[in-house]
Amino acid sequence: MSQGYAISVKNVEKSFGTTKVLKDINIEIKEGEFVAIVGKSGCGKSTLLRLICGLDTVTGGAIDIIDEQNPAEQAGVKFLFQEARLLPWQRVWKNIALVSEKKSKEVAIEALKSVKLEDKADEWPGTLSGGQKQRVSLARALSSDPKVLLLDEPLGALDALTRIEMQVLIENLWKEKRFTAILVTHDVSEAIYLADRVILIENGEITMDERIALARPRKRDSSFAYFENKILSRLLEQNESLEGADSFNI
Amino acid sequence: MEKTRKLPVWSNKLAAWIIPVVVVILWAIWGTTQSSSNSLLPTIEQVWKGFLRLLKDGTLWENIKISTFRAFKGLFWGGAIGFTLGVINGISRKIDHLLNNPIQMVRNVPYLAMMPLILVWFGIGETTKTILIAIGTFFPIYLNTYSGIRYIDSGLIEMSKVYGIKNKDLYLHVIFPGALPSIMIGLKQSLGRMWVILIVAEQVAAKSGIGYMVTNAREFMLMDIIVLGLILYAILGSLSDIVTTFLERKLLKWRYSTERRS
Repeated sequence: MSQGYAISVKNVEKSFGTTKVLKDINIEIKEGEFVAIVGKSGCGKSTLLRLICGLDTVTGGAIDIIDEQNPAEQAGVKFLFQEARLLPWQRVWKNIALVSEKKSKEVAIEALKSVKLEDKADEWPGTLSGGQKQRVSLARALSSDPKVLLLDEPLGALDALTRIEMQVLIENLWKEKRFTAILVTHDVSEAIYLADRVILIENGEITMDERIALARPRKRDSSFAYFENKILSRLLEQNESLEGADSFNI
Repeated sequence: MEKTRKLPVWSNKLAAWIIPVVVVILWAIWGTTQSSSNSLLPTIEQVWKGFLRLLKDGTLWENIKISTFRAFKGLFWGGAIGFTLGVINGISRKIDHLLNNPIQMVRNVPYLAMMPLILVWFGIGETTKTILIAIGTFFPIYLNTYSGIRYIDSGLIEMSKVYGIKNKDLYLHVIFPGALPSIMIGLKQSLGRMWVILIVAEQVAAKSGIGYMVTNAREFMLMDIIVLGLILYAILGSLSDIVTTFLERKLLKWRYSTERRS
């Protein structure tokens, strides 16, 4: 059983040219915790994820991925993109085998079983539906037993029903494997369904850090609605104040 | 939705042959109305007789062999150099800065315009024809390999980075297969050029081959052989098309299987 790594984000700043995308971000994430980061598009939430993954470098501050046994180890971080990003010229199983250590078909089939797609192992990715592709991509991420899984709106392009199926699947796999998960999304309901903690980022700053004290698996009942309402009204309130400022300027 | 009646696949293949067959039939009918004295366009019968004559004395087969060998020898060199440089420049920005500009400059010279220079340097031997074809076939393969590698889906490269696909695996399983569709387009264009250059080179500077056979026939007004030469070019060109299409279906199997489903 793999145990996720803790992640410590300290005073992180990120600028692209003169534009400051992230300003003094501080987050402590416990091992095995499921954190969701929500915010409007362009707020910097995806940038934060890319920084944690090492796809971009910070302008200021530091990100530490802490493993008790092996402090310098960062290899256990996997990333789930918004698009499945499968290699179209490799069979489904090969897409998984390529990134696993043993490169064997058995490992790939095992991983496919966890997302219930083992019968598609020999297909080309192009023949799969969007949801199936994203499930293969999830199997690929989990095949090497990651310590940290970063999810960058992986369900954004899926239809509503497939989305709910995927949310259940992700929750079950997370419960089983206990990796640390950070989900970036603009869907507040998805964030509350999946995460232990929902962090709101607005204009590059954390404006809310809400612990979701609900039992799993979560039902979309009145306490669910309470959290949803709380976060949404915070988001909309900011929107209104911005609009107010605009009209004031005019 | 428009309702279309689906025809079986073989009927499409058959359709491709309707016009050539009609042309041959018209040609044959026209031939029956001609007296033997016509010397501008031979009848199909005359061409057929010319074909059998050259087949019997062995020159036809010999010329086809020589022409085909020349063509592919040139393509081999042009393709090999084009592919190698395309890969190197596609991968390395530094070498690209050094080499790409001069290559683009040479590309703007029409390849047949280099013929006088190469004739003076290398005479009318085999080397000249190989070099001419190599130059002509180099560019399509170079350019398409280069852009195939350069414009590979950056999302996949990023994915490879995150998932630790690197070095040999990265080139073998991500970059090369990603560039392959483009490389195949280059190969197709090169094959088309290959025959054009071969014909010109053989008509200007050769003592054998189909081009020489046709030029020689013109000297003696052997219209049947001239037309036979043209038909041979058409057949050889089509054959190389068939081979590349086959190669494409084999190498880019993932594309065809995806298209079929959607």
